[in-house]
Amino acid sequence: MKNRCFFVLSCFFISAYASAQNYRIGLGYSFLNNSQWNQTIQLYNDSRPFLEEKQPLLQNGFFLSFDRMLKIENKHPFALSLAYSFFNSKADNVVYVSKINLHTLSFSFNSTKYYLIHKNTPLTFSFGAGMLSNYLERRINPNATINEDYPIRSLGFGPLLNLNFSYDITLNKGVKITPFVQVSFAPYYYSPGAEKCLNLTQGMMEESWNNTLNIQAGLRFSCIK
Amino acid sequence: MSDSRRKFLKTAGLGSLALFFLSSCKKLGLSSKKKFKGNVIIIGGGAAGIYAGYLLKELGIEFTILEASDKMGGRMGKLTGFSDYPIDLGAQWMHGNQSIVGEFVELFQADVALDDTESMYWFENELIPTLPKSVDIFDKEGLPDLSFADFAMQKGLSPSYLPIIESLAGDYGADASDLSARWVYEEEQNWSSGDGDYKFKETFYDLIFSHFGAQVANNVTVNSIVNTIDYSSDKVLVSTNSGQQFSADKVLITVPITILQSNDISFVPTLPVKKTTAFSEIGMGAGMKVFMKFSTRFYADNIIGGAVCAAYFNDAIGKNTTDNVLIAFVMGQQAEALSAMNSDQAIINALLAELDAMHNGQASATFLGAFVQDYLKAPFIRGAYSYSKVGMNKNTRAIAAESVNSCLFFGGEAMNLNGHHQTVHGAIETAYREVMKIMKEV
Repeated sequence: MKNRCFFVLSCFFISAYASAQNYRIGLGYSFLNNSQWNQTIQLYNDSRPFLEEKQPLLQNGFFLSFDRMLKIENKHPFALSLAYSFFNSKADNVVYVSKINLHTLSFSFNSTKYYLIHKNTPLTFSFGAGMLSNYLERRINPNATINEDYPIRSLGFGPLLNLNFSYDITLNKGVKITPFVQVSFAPYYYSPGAEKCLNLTQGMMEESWNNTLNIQAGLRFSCIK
Repeated sequence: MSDSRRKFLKTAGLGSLALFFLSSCKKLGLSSKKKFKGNVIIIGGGAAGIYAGYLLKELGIEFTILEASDKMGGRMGKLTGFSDYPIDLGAQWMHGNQSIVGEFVELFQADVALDDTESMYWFENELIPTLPKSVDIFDKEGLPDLSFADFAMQKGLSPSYLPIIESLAGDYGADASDLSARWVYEEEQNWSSGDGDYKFKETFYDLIFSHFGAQVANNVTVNSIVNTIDYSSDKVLVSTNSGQQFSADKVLITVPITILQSNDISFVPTLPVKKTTAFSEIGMGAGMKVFMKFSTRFYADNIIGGAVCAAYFNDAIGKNTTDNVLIAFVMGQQAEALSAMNSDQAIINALLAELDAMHNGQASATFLGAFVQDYLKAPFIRGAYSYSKVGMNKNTRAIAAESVNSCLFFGGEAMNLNGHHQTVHGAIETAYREVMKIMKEV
C-alpha cells in the first residue's frame, strides 16, 4: 500500500514539474460523510458488543488531486480535476482484525477563480461538476481460520458537485501555494454492495442510493512562469 | 505577510483543526444513546432469542426469555454419547463465512472444516457419480411461481429425476412439490454470506450456546409455554399454560413460524389479518435427522436421490472421529411419511432397507445403532425451517416481520428479510434488527 501511494505521489510531482504552468497538484485531509454508510457501521458495532475494538466510521482520510488548467479562446478558463482519496477503518481485536478500505476517485470540470471580494484579491472560489466512484473492500486478518471468501468488494458511483474556496499565496521563484477548502456533494450516489462490506448483509439497510458529502482541506501547489 | 492574510490563515487553520477534531470525536460515538428504558420479554430460547437477550443485557435492559421446552436451543441441539464426537442434532452447517457467525468462529477460535465433498446419485436403481442430465435449472432470473417438482417436469426432466429434485428442495427444508422456483431465486438474490458450507469439529450448538447462552442463562425461564399475549393496554401481558403471568413494555416473539401459523398463542386483540395471512404464506415442512452408526464405512460422502430419504450425508466430515456415522437428512413429505410411522425402529428399518438396496445389504450387516431426531414431533417446533412457498409474494416476510403497535416484535429465521432465512446467522440478524428497533422506541 505504501509503495502504491508513493508511486501515485511521484507521478503527480513529476507531471506537475514537467509543465508547471498548466498543472497543479493538491493534497490534504479529507472528511467523508455518508450517513447511510455510517448507520450501517453503527449497526455493525451495536450488534456485536463482543468486539472490544469497534469499527470506526469511514470519515477521515487523505486526498491527492491533480488539476489540468485549460483555456479555450474567448471562453472562461476551467480546470479538469482528477482526485483520489483514501479512507480506512480498522477494528483491531486480539484474534480478529477487520479492516475496511475505501478508495474514491473523482473526475470533475471546475471553473477557475471567481473573486470573492474584488478582483485581484487572493481569496477566490470556484465550482464544478463531475463523477465520483469508489471501491470499498473489507479484509480480515490473513491468518483467520476461514478467509477464503475475503476480501469482500463493492463499487459505487454517482454525480458530483464541487464548491471550492481558496487563497493564493505567491512565494519566491514563482511558486504558488494555495490553501483551500472544498466541499463536494454526491447526490443519488449508487453503492449497492456497501452494506455487504460494512455489515455482512444485503437488504437490511434501506437504500442502495444515498448522498455523500466530502470536505477536503489542503494545499495546492503550482508554478507560475 | 499582511494582517488580513495572516488572519485568514489563522482562521483557516483553526477551522481545519476543528473539523478534524469533530470528526475524530464522532469516530466511536456511535449509536449507543439509549432511549428505551422499559423491560422486554423474549418468547423463544433459540438462537434469535438468546442473541436478543445477550444484546439487551449488554445494553442494560431488563429482560426475560420464556422458553417452552425444558432447555435452550430451539432448532439447535447437541447429542453426546452416541458416537466418539458430539453431534449437532439441529443446525450443523455454517453456510458461508461472511456473516456474524463467521465472526464468532474467528473470535472464539472455533475449529471448522469446509464441507465440499462429492456426491453419488441413486438414479434408476444405480449409484452413479454424475447424472445424465443437469438439474441446475433453478438458478435463473424470471422463473415462474411453480414448485421445484412442476418446474423440473416443465423443463423436460423425467420422473426419475424427482428424488434428485426432492434432495435439492430438502436443502431448503421443503418438499419439492411446495417449494417455489421463483421465490427461492428472488430471495436468494440478497444472499451475501459467501459460498462454502462449514462443519464444526465440536458443535455449532456450542459456538452459540456456550458463549451467548451462558451469558443469559439466568434470565431464561424454561417450561414456559406461552398461550396468550395481551397487548390491549400500555403493558403487554404474557400468560403461560401454567398460569404464570408476565408483564413487559415490549415483547419479542422468536418462535418458529409453525407456532404462529397454528395459533398456539392467542393475541389480544387479534393480529392484523394481513399479518396472519403473511404467516400462512411462509412454508415450513417436516424435518428429520436420523444418525446411523456402522462398523465399517461402505457409503459415499453424500448419497442423493433415495425415495425414502433423498439425502444421506457422512457426518464424520470435519470431525475428529473413528466412528462411521451417516445422517439421513429427511425433509418434506419424506419426513412426514417416516414421522407417521410413529416408531423409531420402523423409521430406522425403512432407511436401512433403502441403504441396503443401494449398497448390496452392507447397511444392515454393519449397523450398530441409530438416533432419530424428528422435528415435526418436537411440540414447540413442528418442522424444519422456513421456506419460500408457492404463492407467497415479495412482501410476505416483510409483513410477517412488521412490529405491531410498537410493542410486539418478530424475529427468528423466518423473519429474515435479507435472504438469510433458514440459517442460524439469519436468525441472529433478526435478533439484532429487532433489538435495535426496540431501542429506538421511546
